[in-house]
Amino acid sequence: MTKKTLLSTMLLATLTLAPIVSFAAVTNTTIAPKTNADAKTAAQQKTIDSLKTRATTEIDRRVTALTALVTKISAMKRLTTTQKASFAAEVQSNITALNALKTKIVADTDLATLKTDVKSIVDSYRIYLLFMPKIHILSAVDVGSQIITKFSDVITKLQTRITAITTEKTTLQAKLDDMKAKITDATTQFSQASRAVIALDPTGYPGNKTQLQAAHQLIVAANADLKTARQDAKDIMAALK
Amino acid sequence: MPSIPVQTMAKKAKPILLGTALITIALALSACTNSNTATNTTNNTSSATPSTTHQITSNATSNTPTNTTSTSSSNTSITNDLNAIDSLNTSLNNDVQSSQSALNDQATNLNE
Repeated sequence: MTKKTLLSTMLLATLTLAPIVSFAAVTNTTIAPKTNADAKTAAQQKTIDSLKTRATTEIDRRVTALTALVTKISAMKRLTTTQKASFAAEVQSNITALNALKTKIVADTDLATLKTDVKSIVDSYRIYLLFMPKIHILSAVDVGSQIITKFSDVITKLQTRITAITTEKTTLQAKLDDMKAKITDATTQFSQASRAVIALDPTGYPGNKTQLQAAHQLIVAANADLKTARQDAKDIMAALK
Repeated sequence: MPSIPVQTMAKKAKPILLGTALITIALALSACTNSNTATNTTNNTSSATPSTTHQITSNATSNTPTNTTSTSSSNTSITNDLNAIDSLNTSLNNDVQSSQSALNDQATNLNE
């Protein structure tokens, strides 16, 4: 056999056997097909992982929001020290409970238990659902009251100026009277909003949801009144300069 | 009638001219005195009037800046108050928005 013939034979053998070897390798890897039970377990694990990811994201979002709420409560000027301490303690307690729940959820291995724990983020933690709007409404009332105090100063100063002028007096006095009326309305609305939510308790949720919504509408209306009063002040100042 | 020579007439006219000149000077001096008196009177009047005018002007000058300063001060004070209101209003808007978001969040959570 010549060298050339030998080389040709080896090449032919390689080309012929290669697919067989390759097939054998593939056959080996698929030799143990998954059972239905394995597939079910894999799907369940996927559900568990997905639920855990969703739950931890939701808990983190709540904890971040509640932490910001504690800062907001401490910055409020119109709440009493006792009210601040009470609200802050309730919110802090909720943060602690949510963090504990997160630890439990991460450790859950049973899908049914995990589902119950995930559901409890909403069901058992009504404080979040109640306190988020409640504290923002109270904060709006707090800031609104500060704005009203400032407006009272502005009204006194503008009244002095209008009393001293001779031209456009009637027009500007009408603007100032409108401004006063808007401030009075806003004061009433902020007061009603505060009274509506200050005593709302998480145990009353979701029954007290309508009161939260009504209080929200009051601060929206009060805010609109303050904007009109601000425009009146701007118009008066433009005429006086 | 004997004619008078021109030269003689000139000689006689000299004292007349001198007298006339003296009278003119005297009158002029008198006028000067009167004029001085008048000037003094005017001066007195003008010195009195300007004095009063100055006082009024001075008062007016001092009043005007006081009023301008007062108006300017009032404007600044009101503008500062309005700026503070605008700043607080930003915070109020945020709270109103957050309250709305929290209520929306409630709806989302309850639908879960």
